[in-house]
Amino acid sequence: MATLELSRPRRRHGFIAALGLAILAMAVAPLGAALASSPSPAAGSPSAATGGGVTLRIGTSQKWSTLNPFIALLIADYQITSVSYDLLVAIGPDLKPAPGLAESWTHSSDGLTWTFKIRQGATWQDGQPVTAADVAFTYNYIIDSFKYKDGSFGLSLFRDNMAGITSVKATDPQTVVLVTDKPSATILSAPVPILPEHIWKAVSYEAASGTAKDVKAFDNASMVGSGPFHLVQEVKDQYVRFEANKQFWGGAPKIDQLIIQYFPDAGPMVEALKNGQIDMIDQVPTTVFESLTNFPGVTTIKGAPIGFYQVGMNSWVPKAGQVKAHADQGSLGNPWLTKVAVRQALFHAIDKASIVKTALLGYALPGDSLLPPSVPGHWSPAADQAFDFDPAKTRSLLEALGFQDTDGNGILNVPADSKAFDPKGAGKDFVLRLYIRKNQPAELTAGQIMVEGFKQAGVSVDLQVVEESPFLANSTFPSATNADSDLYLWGWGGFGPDPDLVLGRVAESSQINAWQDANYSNPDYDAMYAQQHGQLDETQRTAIVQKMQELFYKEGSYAVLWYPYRLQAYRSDRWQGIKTLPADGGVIFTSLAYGQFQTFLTAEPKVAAAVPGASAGPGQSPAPTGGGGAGTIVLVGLVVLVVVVVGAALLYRRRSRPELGD
Amino acid sequence: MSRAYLGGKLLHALLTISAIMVLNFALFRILPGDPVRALLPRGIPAEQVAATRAHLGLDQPIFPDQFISYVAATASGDFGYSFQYRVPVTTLIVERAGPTVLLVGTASLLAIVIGIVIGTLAGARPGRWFDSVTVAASLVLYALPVFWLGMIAIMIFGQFGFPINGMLTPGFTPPDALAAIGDLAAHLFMPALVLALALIGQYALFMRSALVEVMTEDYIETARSKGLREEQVVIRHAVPNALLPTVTLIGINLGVIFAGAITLENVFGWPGLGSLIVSSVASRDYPVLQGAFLLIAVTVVAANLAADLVYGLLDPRVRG
Amino acid sequence: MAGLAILSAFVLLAVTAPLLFGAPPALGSADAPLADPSWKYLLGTDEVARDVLALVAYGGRISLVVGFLATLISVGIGTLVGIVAGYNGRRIDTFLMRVTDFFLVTPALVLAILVASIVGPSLINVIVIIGFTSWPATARVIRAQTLSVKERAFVARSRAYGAGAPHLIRRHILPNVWSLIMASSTLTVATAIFLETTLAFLGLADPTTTSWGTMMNRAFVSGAAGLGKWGYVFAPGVAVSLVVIAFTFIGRAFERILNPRLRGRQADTGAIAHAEVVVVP
Repeated sequence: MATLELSRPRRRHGFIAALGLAILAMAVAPLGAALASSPSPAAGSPSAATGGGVTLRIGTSQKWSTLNPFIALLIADYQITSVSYDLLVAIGPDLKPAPGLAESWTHSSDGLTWTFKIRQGATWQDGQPVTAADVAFTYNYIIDSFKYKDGSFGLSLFRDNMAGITSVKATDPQTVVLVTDKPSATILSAPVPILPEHIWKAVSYEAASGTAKDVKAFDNASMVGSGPFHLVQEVKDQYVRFEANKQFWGGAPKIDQLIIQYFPDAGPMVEALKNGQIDMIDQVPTTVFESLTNFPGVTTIKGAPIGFYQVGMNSWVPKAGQVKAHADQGSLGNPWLTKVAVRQALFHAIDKASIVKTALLGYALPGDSLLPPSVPGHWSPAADQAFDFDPAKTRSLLEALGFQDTDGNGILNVPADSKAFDPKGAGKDFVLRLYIRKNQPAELTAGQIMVEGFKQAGVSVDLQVVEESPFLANSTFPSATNADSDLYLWGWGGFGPDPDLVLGRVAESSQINAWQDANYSNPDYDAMYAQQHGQLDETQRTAIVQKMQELFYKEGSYAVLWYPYRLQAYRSDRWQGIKTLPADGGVIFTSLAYGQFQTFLTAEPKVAAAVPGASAGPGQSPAPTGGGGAGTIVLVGLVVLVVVVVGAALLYRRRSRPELGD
Repeated sequence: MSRAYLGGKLLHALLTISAIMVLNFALFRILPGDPVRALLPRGIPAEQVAATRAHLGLDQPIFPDQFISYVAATASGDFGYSFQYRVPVTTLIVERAGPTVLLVGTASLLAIVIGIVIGTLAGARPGRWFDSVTVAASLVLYALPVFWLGMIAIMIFGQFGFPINGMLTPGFTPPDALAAIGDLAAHLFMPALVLALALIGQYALFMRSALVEVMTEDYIETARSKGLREEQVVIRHAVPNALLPTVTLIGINLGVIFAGAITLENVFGWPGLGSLIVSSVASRDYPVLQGAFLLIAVTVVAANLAADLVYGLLDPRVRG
Repeated sequence: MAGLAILSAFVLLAVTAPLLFGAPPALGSADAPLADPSWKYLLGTDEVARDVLALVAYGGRISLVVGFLATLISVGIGTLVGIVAGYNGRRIDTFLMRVTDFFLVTPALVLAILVASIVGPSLINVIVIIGFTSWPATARVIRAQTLSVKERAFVARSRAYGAGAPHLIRRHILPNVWSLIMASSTLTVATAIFLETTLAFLGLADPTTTSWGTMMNRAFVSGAAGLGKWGYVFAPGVAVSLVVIAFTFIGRAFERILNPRLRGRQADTGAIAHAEVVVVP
């Protein structure tokens, strides 16, 4: 009997285990089979095995907001439009004007009349020829739209580029003549995408708002440009896919496909680069830059800063003629931010040095004026002019304005007698909202440092994490939300070689309801802006530009926090022909976007990686190196798990045996 | 199944859905003042506020007019417009529901199959080592936050080339259907596995305890006394009866599964309802949040109802 | 009592955090960001140069406080609903159980996300939201127990002598459901900590506070996981898991010790079966 007793359970276990395995196999089989049979397209990026030909994959952590170049706002938007559309005058490898759709140009001796020769043989991606008429159409399209002053986000984005232009005409199919009423320093640096007339003439700024043909609502899903890549697919919030335009006038790209993939979090994006699922990252998180530099097969690039991040302070004072979205109310921002003295007090509560050290890990320069140090004409405050970090000074400056901590909770109260000025806040704690972008760890840290500084100064800041598009964009915008924001942390890139762009878009009055976000308005600033725009003498222009920076630093609505180094990375073990802009000491992805497509023309897989078969299968991705990091984790994790399970099992057995023994 | 049982359960489900609708309606209106002004001023363009106002019929009295128009709109599948995407909420939710259903379905299937097998092995011989380890491991798995498991999975499987973001390889044009499924499966692998891991413990424990209970019943002894081998007793007589409560657990548990999916979708960039919900929070996209909540809640109620009905259909004892 | 030991360790760590680590670790307070574990920083540092061990201790404060306070609300509501429903029976019972069922099937996480997005994710709000979404399991258990106690002979006798409801509830019902309230509480704490962690991970917590959930979120988005910073990546997850396991053990122990009727097979998995109805993974 004893043998029978012993053998029974053993047999049974075997049987049940076999059954279990069978069921398990049934469940997993389709998955496994599918995995095994697929060529694992995720790996081996440049491989031709994926059906789309040689594919270059770019990871980005910014979600694009539109494909329509006229409402493009974010750098991610320009990354898309800039590979599909051409400029009249391109940006050369040295950042100087270079032949684009115009192969040459001349101007009259008074600088008022410009003649552009449009190159022959350029075609739209739908096959139609590019002519001078298209160029004239594009410029006139934008200029005409200024007549429709509804103050909305739209073609007004290009207002500065068009300043002073009185007429644009195609005199023959290859010649465009552009006339200005005064000399303009920016004719050749206007980042205006040239549009096909035969498509865009049907899209109108006169169409009813929100309809398919309204320029502000037009989705441009079947984008037709004359650039090197043709948009073939957009999957919202995931990726956009381009096919190479082999007829491109500048020569066929060496790759067949270009894909820009959005990653909500930078952590997985970096992992995807290491695993070979993407080939390039346009913005490497500071936390991993150093380790990525040491990662075999990856080349990192650290470019000098050309953009900045700021905490904006909503300074909108509604004026007659400006659209108010909620007709019953004025600005929805905190009214105190419209006072220069309050903003100046708050400037002292921001610890830029800590932000650069802790949030940016040193991969940035502390900010002051609108132009980064590397840009010619940069102005820096003298030591006695600077708004040093000094929360006590913020407090005393605010107290001088009537703020008092009347309830003893450590937060200053808004003057009680300011009911007329601040009906909602009078007498209460001084509270400001601070918007920061979602999924941006460095900005979250910077926000936390600011909250801390403001707290020491007696100002309560409510940190809110928000989606960049459309939420943050809308909330700074008078015509959308009555500028429903107080403080917000945001950045600017997109600067060309010319300071005009940033000086105008950031702070010039006419850019309220267009590019501006803090809604700053100062006639002195505007006057200087117009002055420099018409000034062709470099020295004199620089003097004005510096004065503008000084004025905005002292009285403006930004605390420029930092100038970030541009940290980028790509798989140099798989790709060659990667170019930077400028060629010397530049980066792959300029925040300007236009001009950088040169690198996508010359990029090609390295020969070894392109060998058929070499890039098939998941095992092709580089061996896990990284100093045993991830391997250790797996090991430690397994050990921890085993210890915990065994420990729990022991405990469980000890107590349950008596009850379960029956 | 008796008509009264069926009717009772149906009525109950309908009542619950009504209550969910009332809650959804009320959430917009609990704050004092104009609900649109109170909730939507932050970064929402005026025309969208106006559209929402019109959609909610806010110029009418809250009850009954507003409520009636809300119910009518909801019943016809109209949840208003998304602030973030400027498309009807219904379109958006339908588009995003597919990936979530795929993820939840695959994970549930994996979990139930593996859970039942493990639970059977454990429950057939309670108190043995396998049983102890099963119970302990289930407890540990149950105590691990699923999104954290997801992070760890990315670190482990990412190295082997498993895709870690999205649902399909961008730009991959599959030569045949099998390759397309393969691509999808490769992307599904990690999120589904992790979600299944988090659920296996519960199913295994449930199956185990159900089996242990069944094994004490008289008819099992009868079967044994008929001279059936033990594995035959377990497989033929005990397992079928123990399966029932375990299978219905899926229906009862669907809310928990959805919760896991929501967090995991954000870890793996899976383009489903979960990532939509989280991005809607940061956009204050309330119409989407309300629509998604209603959809998920109704699905969960329906699953509960289905579980009840299946149970009632198969188990004569619960007929009431 | 392994559960109690684990829990005590975490409570001790949280309570003595100021003694062990001084003030809450300020941004940039450690020598270097993302440092590997060393004698100075046993679990390394995070990406903004803070001692991870100190963060675990201080994060535990938030997680445990949220867990306990939310449980207080949750068990309060659950007990009240359970006793009132069980004691009164009939219509009130039917009505209250309908309400309970409603909250039981309503997906707690989605409801919590919706409410948090409307009222804002401050610490107090999160506690209240969790409290108000996690009580139904308690209510059901308490109701069942109340029903059975009510029918016992000594209670019926007491009622026959004309004892009022408050007296009966205080003298007879409460003492008899007390053990269940305790057991239910421990499981609810685990639920609440889980829910808080999940909300924080999804970015639905006050971003300026440090809890285990926000730690995991930061470890994820900063790419620390890919850098092999196991101290930073594992610590908050292991902490959550251990505390949840501890509470589950304690809950089971309560059921065994205080309620002999539940001894035996049911108690083995009863705790999990009870909790899984409401727990968010």
